[in-house]
Amino acid sequence: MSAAERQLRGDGPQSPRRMEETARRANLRLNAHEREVFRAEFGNVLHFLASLQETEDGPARVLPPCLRADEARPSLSQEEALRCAPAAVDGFFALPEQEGGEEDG
Amino acid sequence: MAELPSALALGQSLRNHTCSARELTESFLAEIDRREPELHAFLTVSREEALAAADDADRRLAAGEPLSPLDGVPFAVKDNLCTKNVRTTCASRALEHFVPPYDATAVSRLRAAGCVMLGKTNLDEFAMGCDTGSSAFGPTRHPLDPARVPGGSSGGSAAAVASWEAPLALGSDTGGSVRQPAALCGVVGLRPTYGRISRSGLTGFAPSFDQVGLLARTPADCAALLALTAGFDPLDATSARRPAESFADQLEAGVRGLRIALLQEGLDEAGPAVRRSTERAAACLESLGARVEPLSLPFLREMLPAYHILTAAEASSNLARFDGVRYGLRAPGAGWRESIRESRSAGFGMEVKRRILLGTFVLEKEQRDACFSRAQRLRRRTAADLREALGRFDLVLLPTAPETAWRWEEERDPLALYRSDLFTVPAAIAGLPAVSVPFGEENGLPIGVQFMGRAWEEALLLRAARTLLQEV
Repeated sequence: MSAAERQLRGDGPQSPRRMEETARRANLRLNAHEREVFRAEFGNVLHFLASLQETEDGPARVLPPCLRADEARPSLSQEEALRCAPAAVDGFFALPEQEGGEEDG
Repeated sequence: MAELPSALALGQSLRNHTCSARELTESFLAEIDRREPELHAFLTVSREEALAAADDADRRLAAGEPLSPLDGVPFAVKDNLCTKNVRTTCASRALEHFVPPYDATAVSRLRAAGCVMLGKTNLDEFAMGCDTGSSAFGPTRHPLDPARVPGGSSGGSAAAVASWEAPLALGSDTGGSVRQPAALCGVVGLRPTYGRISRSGLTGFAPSFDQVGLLARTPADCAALLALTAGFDPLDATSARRPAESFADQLEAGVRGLRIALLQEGLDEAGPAVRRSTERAAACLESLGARVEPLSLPFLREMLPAYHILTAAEASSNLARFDGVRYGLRAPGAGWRESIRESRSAGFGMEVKRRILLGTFVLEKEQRDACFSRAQRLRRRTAADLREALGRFDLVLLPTAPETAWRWEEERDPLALYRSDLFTVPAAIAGLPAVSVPFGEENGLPIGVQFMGRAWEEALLLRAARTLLQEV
């Protein structure tokens, strides 16, 4: 078993606690069926992913800066952008109010 | 297929006034009506818009002012490319009612060339899959056998072209999503060099891999489609500044004198019929004057896990934008955080959630070195190996898919499905162009072989594909 696999298997996402934690970070809520299916198959999927051997490819190359300067260009109007929104108020996207502050990061 | 005209021949018929663009469009719409109840290649048919565009083309053609060789010729668009005022779902409940306010650049360029958009084709949800089975709106069926898969994720586009519901189609190829369904359905599928066609308006799955791809019945049609869609686009930061090319000038030049590598691992990993077809293609090319020699790429098998780690990681980050705030499905929740989580949970299907979870996991601090960084290093090494091989050879010949279209009833686990990308992932990992061309069959089901080439040498790929197709 490779080091990567041992690391993965130690507390991989197939464990209920880690799966819930990973789902929370991904902004997903899994139903009972999804949890069952993913727990059953993630061991094999991770075994497959962990089959990756270490590869030496020399030192990392430093690429020259290649980003262009930011500049404003014509784009969608505010009205066009809001037309697709599920809810909008006074020219802004509208969301349900969050009670109890903004924790839950 | 040979008896059907090519898209270029249709364009010539329009310019000769043998038929009108309206008649041509109506004939394709009638074929869509006839085949769709069984095939389900389309998610949206934009009938009225297509007929209006055809009428515009007829006015230009009557005035002797066609915009391009394909003016008035219909095409289909994979439903992960944005189309102004035509819904774009990505085959996901999350975007079921999304109507984009702009066209993807590839689409707008075809419209500007006078091409007539027929509608939007089915795919695996967010292009994550290889058989259209993860589409939230039901799978596409294989045109030759509805009990079988068409391949994917551009399965709707491939099936539409193969069944002559459309003469041309746009797709997208992240790890083989144009070439694999092209092989399974028996059409030509081209993944251009990364940066050749703008990705603006293509819903990203894994942006460092994603490329707009092309599906057609002939390499010449593919060349014409590429000439119209390629070119720098300031809306895509990864779009390359390349001069305009025809891609068709050398199509008839044959393969004499070309050095072609036959990938040994490609033969070893393919099913018997696919292996035989690939060997026959090699023999055929040799008989036509090419020099064919074996090539080994020992990292081939490892490219697959590397590809899935990197694409899952990119997908988990990239799909964070689908939160039901600015567009797309919004589910109710107590507060905006819960609303976002519920929206994503209700909108995404199993395969998308699977990849987001894997991607989130491999990007966690504890896993980053074991998975993500290691996969990145393998990607660099693979790209270097391929560049080195393509310094010695003009082209690499390998199968496109390990097997022919399988039956829907054969339930496959995710790993079995991932392995169908084995031969298409190398070009994607290295950003190289590759084309799948139909060559041979097994029990009436098409087999595709693939040419992979140097960056920006799509013309050579299409020339080899054309030469091989003439020998079928």
